Amino acid sequence: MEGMVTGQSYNIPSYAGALMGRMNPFFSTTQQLYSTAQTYNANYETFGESHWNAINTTFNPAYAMIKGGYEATTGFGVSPNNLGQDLSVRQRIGSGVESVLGAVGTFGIAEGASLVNGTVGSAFASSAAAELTPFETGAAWAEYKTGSSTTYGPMNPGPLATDIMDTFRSGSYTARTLNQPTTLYRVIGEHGNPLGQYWTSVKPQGPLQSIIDFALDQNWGNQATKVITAKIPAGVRLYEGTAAVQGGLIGGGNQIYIPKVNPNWLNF
Amino acid sequence: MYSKEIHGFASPGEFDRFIRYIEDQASMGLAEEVKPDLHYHKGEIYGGRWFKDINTNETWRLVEPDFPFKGLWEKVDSQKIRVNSPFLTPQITHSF
Repeated sequence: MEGMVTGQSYNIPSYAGALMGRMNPFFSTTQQLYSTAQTYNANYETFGESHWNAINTTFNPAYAMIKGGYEATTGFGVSPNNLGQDLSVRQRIGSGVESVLGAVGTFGIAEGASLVNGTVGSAFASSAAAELTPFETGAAWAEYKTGSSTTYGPMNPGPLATDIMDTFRSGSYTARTLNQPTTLYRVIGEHGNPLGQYWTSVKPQGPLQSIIDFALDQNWGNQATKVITAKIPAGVRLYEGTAAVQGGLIGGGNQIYIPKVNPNWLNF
Repeated sequence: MYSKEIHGFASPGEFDRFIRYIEDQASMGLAEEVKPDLHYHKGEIYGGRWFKDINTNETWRLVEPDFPFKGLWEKVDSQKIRVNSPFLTPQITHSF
């Protein structure tokens, strides 16, 4: 790792924000841009042959620093013309090199960057909101690009721990990566956690129905009196199946597990 | 410190009792609560409070239930930790 390029982010909110507002169709107006804005500062370093993609228009790299001939590639986006499109560092620097992808600014949520090939060697972020979500496997990238999904179960174990797998009926679930923003719902009790991992694509029809559909064993206290709505951005990988039987409740409702929920998804 | 994995607590009350137990262990100097790696997500489960067993030097994590997930107490897989990256402190390599 010696000699690896490392990154320093710069806060350049006004210029970056204005530029993104013009170029990024996701932000239809500058006003919307700023109303959803937050300062973030994130970097990912990669080892080996790397290929970064800006797959979600809510995220665009503000700069990239490349080891080798392009040691100091600067600017807003590796190429501003690529905003909202696939952004290939590899095209500029060839293969077999390490890279740093960084983002800085006040233009939305740092979600949706993906890494194809290569390995994320380390990551650092100077704020909690700065977390990038690179695809850790080529499977997630393929799902995003093709709309495909992969079904896992007891005979074909997937990425979920048994503790999570067993919350799906027959331990069977499907992994897919959103290729467009999607609205999901979560039911909680009065003091429940709105940022938990269990969601559904079916709009809840009241507490009783939710308790039955999601087999909400009342010994665990979720009375399903509140419905949380979130817009999940493209690029997020989620795990979907049918709620398993719990505590004598039959379940059977659509159940989606999202490993990490960003609080900003609730603010739309 | 308790060194058997727990995959699913029987009730919220049992989970609360386990928290009190492990906090007592920490107050007696048998365990130490340590900063978790926020990127750690073995089995696609993020989060939890991390505790180091003073005797064995192993790190364990306690993940809160989010029903139907009933919580977890497991040893942290050191191979999957990223927090000790040498790159946590950025260095200036270029300027705009």
